[in-house]
Amino acid sequence: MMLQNRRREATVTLEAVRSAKPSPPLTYLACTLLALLQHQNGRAKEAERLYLEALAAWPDGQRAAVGLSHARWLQGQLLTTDFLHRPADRRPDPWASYSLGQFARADGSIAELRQAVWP
Amino acid sequence: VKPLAALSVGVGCLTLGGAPLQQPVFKSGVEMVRVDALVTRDDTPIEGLAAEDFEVFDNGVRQTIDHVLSSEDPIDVMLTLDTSASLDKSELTRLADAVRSAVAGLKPGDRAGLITFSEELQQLVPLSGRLDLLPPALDRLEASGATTLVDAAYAALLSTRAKGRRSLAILFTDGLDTWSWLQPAWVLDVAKRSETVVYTVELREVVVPFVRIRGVRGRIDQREYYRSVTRFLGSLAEATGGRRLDAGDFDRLQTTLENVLDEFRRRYVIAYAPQGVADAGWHTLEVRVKRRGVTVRAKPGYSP
Repeated sequence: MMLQNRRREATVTLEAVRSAKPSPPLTYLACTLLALLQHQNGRAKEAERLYLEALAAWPDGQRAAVGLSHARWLQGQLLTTDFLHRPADRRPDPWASYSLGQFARADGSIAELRQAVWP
Repeated sequence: VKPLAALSVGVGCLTLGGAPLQQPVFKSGVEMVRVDALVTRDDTPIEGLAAEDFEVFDNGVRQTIDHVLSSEDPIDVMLTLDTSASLDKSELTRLADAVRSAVAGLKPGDRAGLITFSEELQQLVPLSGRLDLLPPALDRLEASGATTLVDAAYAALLSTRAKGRRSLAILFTDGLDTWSWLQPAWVLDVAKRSETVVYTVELREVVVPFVRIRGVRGRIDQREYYRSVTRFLGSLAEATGGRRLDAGDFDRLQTTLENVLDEFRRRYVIAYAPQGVADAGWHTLEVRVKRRGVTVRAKPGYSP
């Protein structure tokens, strides 16, 4: 729906997911996508709040941390690059599995494809 | 990532339209503006210029130049390297070797840092004078995942904000952004307000893939998104007064990186206290050199 610019429907759907208080990865996804909608609409403060909610659910989520940083930049806040410091025992950003269906982890398939196209 | 990989993973990129982005909130009032400028003739940097050789126009108003800094000053360099899955092991080794050789030319007083980006951004070495930290970090590079080029540019800009120092971000990529959260226009806005000069170094021409996503109500054409991220590198370099370079292949990468560092040292920093212009809003900048046949590269404007 977001890709098709159906923002209102996307917001209603995502809010329904968020209010159901699902598992942390799903809460993270619902909040980051809602934050992105606000971010896109120029509502940086609201986006910041949602990114923070996402990070409360999944502290290792880097996409939310990057979005949060920029939402704060828009508000003239002092910036840090905290999102660049990745703990060794971090858990993957749920966005990776949502958007790519774990494709990004299929290194073997990538190597196979590379060999097929650029032998 | 290479075009094929981009095609495969590109469905993850959210490209929304929407309202114009909110204007950033910044304090107005600038005591001194610093403009980093490259002066070339036939693509060769010209050295030895002094304040009286330059003219600076701020919103069309000629300014009195306070001073000009040149190549003697130490530099900050943030190396920002694409380590997405499209690089195989031997390519990654060649990338590390090229960077290692290039940074060996850094001088005492210079500072450098290292950021890598794939589907994750990582600061392997923070910006510091500990240049000895770079080689071991380069030895540990690993390739995996998608490409967050736009997010990486944002990280590089944020990591090089030391006041009063000459800052360079070198952004190396072998392909196309597929996974950034931030949109190109947002990061370009950050770049325009930054004093960091960005040189982008690519390995090969990026082909915009034909990507359509089958949705519930028809299809979504992602080509415009890929066009925008392809344009992004050129726009980023232009917004900061830097350059977009095509290394072509790994054989030329080391030379290209060495040339970037050499060229950056031969740039000038022109400082002036703005006079006769409003404090707030966007200021257009024009830098002229009183020599014939020269080209000047500098950022096109700034915002107090």
